[in-house]
Amino acid sequence: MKRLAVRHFLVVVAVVILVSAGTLFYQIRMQYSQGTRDLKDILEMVEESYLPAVAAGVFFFDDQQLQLLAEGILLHPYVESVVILEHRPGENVPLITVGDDSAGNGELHTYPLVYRYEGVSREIGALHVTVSLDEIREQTLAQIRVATVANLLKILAFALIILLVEQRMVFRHLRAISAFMGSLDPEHPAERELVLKRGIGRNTGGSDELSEIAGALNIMVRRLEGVLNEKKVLLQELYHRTGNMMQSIRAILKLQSLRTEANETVETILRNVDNRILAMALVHQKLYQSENLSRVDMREYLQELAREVLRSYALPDRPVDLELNIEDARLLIDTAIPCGMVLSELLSNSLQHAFPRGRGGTLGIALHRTGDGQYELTVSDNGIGPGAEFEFPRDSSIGLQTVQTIVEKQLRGSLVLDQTRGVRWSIRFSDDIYQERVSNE
Amino acid sequence: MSGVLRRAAFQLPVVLTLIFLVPVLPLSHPSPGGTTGPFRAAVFTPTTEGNTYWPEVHRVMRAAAESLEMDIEFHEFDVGDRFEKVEEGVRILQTDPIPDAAIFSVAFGQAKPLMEVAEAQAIPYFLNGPLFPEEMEELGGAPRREYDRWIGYFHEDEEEKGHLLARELIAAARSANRTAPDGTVLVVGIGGDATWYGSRLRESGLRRAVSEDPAARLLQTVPTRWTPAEGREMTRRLLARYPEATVVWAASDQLALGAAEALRAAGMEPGVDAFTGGLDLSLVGLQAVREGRLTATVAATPLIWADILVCLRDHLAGNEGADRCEGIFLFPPVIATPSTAADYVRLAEQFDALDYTRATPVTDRLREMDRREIKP
Repeated sequence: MKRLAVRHFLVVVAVVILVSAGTLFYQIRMQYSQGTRDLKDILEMVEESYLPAVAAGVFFFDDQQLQLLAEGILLHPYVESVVILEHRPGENVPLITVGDDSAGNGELHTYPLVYRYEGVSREIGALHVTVSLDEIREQTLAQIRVATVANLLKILAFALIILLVEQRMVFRHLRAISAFMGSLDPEHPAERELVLKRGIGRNTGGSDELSEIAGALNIMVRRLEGVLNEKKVLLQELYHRTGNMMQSIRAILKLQSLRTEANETVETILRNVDNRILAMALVHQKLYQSENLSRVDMREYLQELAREVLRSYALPDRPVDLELNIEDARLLIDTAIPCGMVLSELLSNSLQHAFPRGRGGTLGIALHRTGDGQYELTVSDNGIGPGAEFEFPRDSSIGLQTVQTIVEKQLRGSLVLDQTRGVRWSIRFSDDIYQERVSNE
Repeated sequence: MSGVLRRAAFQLPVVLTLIFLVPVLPLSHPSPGGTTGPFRAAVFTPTTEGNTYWPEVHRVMRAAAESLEMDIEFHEFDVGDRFEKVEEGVRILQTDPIPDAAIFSVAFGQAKPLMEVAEAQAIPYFLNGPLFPEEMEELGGAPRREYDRWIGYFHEDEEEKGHLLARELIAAARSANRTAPDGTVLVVGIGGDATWYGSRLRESGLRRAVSEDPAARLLQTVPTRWTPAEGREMTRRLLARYPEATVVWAASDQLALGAAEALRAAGMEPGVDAFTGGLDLSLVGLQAVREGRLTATVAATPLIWADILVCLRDHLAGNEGADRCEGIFLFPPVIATPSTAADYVRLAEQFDALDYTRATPVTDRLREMDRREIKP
């Protein structure tokens, strides 16, 4: 907004300078033209009014009168010098010289002096009048200097006043509009109304452009909030229905497993599928229950998911404890679901292989931010471990391969296995590779 | 009357004056009847720097006043300040001792205020001209018409003076063969103060003389304020403009003397290479004519001022025949040339010794003068 104000200020200054310069130039041109017209009038006046008297003065040797006449001519503007000459046989003799005739840059006008005596006109001398437009030029330059300074001051004062007035009338309101737009609550944009602090009569009955903009913005924000609310409701409904559908699938899988003869392999497969559906269903449940339709509270989600997975294995003979160390984090749905799938697979893997023959132990789940802004999800157990000959990913089962694929493809993260004491999986990933489904900013 | 006849006629009284008056001792004159003490006359005349005419007029009048046992006071005012003359004149006429009579020699616009004060103070007066016709008309055209105390109006025949001098100078130049290649005598004129009507009349005389002579041409005249320096400077500049001019007509002896100096400075010998003359018949002018610097000087004799004083005395005393002085008098000029200048010098030297109580030839002529010569 400052840039706009400055730009506007400069435009006003430039336009006013241009107009002032044009006006000044016109005035100077008129003044100079007037000066040249005055000069012409003066020369005509000298010719018509002074010449007969000067001729008579020369004819009758009236030096006193000639001196007065010459000084009279010299009093006129632009006249630099006056010389009265008498014609004598073989020469022209200067009788009177007034003014400075040595400047050399004047324009010499010569008038013959003719006197009629005894019925005969005689050319008895000449009048030399040297005129110069230097005075006009000097006056013009002086006026240009004064006018330029005065105009610049006037322009600056004028532009500053314009700027201050516009600042008060326009730019501060634009800034208020900008601040209002920047401070809108994404979830409740219509929580506040844009009110411009205008002069008396502007807030109420005024209907200028700013009032129209403010009114339009308020209407737009209210409509936006309506649309947002509608979408939120629809999304919640979608999450709800998706979650319900997944629960229905799990129920179907459960019924199918009950009708199936006891077969450990099938049970394991069904349990794994169930846990994977659980991971997805839980996310949708959390989103449905949450105010935020894009992000999932990872502490609640991972804790509930881990307990459900643990319960699905129904291990009354094997005391397995669950250790959770999860930071308060809200991750995007596109990050949370892969995390849930990975956790479900790794927990299933530990429950199936880490604690054989009634052995008890502890499952550890941790999530925290790393120094470089990433997240690290750690899933561990203090079980028997995969054995010295196990090499990841060469000896990975389908479940671990699925984990690796999810980490690398969906989370675009890394997966590290530590089997010094039991098993410890460390998954590093970032939460900024996907965008929010519903903007909360 | 032709100019030649006039010259002869006017030179005669001067000669008669020399013959009849100079040997006579001053006679006592009758006291003015019913008055206590001598009459006081105030004379207002102009002056200029280095003026040579008015001092001689004053000398004659002073001599006449002494002869007539009158008190006389002169008030001179510079021609450059005509307003001072009026203001000071008014003050003098209103301040005790108020003069018994006055003579005003005035320039344009000065007569009326002085005359009005004189009328208010019951002072009889003479007016010396010439005045512009318009001004004269404003004053009633003649004495006694609108101003009761106005005894008489007198002046010299200025036009004739200018005419006589011009003819004399042109003739001298032609005699000396100082003409243009085509035989034309080229004339320049140095006039007087154009605000005095007499200056214009003198120049008119010059023009008439030139127009009467087909072989003379007036190149230019210039006005001055009477000073010799102006005569010198104007002549210098005229000669620079018209180096072929050989006649410099001057409106006064002072101007003519300045012109003679300028001629010399230009390498021309006055009276030989070029010719100049004045219009005052002043002593210095006469001397210059005798010396050949001036070709002529033309004017009426200053004795006319003595005659006016005699008239004033008769008017104040109520003498028989005093009314002969009432009216308008035009005094014709005489011309002093190298051949007659000595006579006029001798006359001028006798002014102090004349007996003005007796009728002078000039005074006698007043009675006979055809007053219609002036057409108001």
